[in-house]
Amino acid sequence: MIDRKTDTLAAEYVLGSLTPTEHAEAARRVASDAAFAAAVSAWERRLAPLAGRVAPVSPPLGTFARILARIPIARRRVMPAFSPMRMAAAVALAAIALVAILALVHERRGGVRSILVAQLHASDRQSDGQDLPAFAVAIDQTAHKLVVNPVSIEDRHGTRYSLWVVKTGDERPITRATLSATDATVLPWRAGGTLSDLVGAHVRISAGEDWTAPQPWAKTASFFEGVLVRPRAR
Amino acid sequence: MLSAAEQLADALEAVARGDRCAFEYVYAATSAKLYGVILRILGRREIAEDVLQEVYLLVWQRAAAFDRTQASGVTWLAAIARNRALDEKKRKGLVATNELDEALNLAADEDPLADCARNDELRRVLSCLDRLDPEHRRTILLAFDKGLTREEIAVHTGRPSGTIKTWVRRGLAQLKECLSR
Repeated sequence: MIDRKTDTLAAEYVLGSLTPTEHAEAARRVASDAAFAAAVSAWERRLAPLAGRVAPVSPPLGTFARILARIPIARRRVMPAFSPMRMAAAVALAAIALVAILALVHERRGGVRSILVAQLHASDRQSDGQDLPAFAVAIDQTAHKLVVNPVSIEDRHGTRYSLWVVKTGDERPITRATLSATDATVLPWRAGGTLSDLVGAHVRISAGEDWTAPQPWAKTASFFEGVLVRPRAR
Repeated sequence: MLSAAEQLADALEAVARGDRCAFEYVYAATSAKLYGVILRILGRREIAEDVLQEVYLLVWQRAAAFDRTQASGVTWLAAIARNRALDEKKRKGLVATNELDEALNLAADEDPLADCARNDELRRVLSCLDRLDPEHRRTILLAFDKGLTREEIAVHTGRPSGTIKTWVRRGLAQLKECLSR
């Protein structure tokens, strides 16, 4: 049981009415006196709801990026220059490129096959642009398939990856699925419209929660991202 | 359909598990509210942004301490923001500037937590505040909203510092009694 004087000090500390000297002393006491800290917590619960009256003010642009920059992030695994995984990644990229080229040739010969591809890098990467993408995505509208190949993504145990294709200017993803970090994922592609509507669309893959859970923050996930483009004919 | 308060509580629990997507959601949903709280107390934008950054770093580090049975997410976050802002104000001996008034007028932004802000917790505190003597209520709100010391409130209201001290303490005691019912 805390005495009235101590409880009053805790209340004024939370309220903010103490002088700077009194405030600093109370802050030190929070760290060293469990009973006082408990009294402070109780007053925070009583008074903090009053902050709900305060009008919101947009913080400066870029604040969140500056916060993220101060959060230590586990480094992605760096692959050695000639590792089997890097070789496999290169093969996977070459395969994607080949499919895209074949599709283009087919299209130029009068066929209707059409493909869009995207290479997805970590959204917070800082590199010279020479590193491998984490994932590669190809959409073949003729075959009604969407293929996602993991290229240089680390297979973190228990991590699930979710795919989002977000049409430019549209907040809602037009397809989504849970992906493998080790094998190619082939999905049916049933999006309406033409592929030209999708050129420039944003592709995002987020790590973490299963997309089937209705968690709103998944919509803002942007761990790996790229833009769907039509491969250029030479 | 989850309420905004439930979504925020879920997101804070996900942040405790290191979910950066959830952290992004928490920031998007609450940063304008917390920045408003901090700006009211500090009155200077250049310092308020630094404090806001520190608040979210604390949220990232201490999200595991959030307990939805004890307080709503926005109340928990507001307590951290006020605490950090008050520490900064007292440590630097900051006094209110005209920027405060500018901040108070910038209420046009959409508030994604409007329903949280008008939750039961707030209604209950406001109901108890309404029962206080008007001068006691005013001194408490001046201290809460702007972090003014008893001496600053005395200057602001033109009343003796001893009187303000009495009003603050009586008001807080009555508030506690009312909230415990």
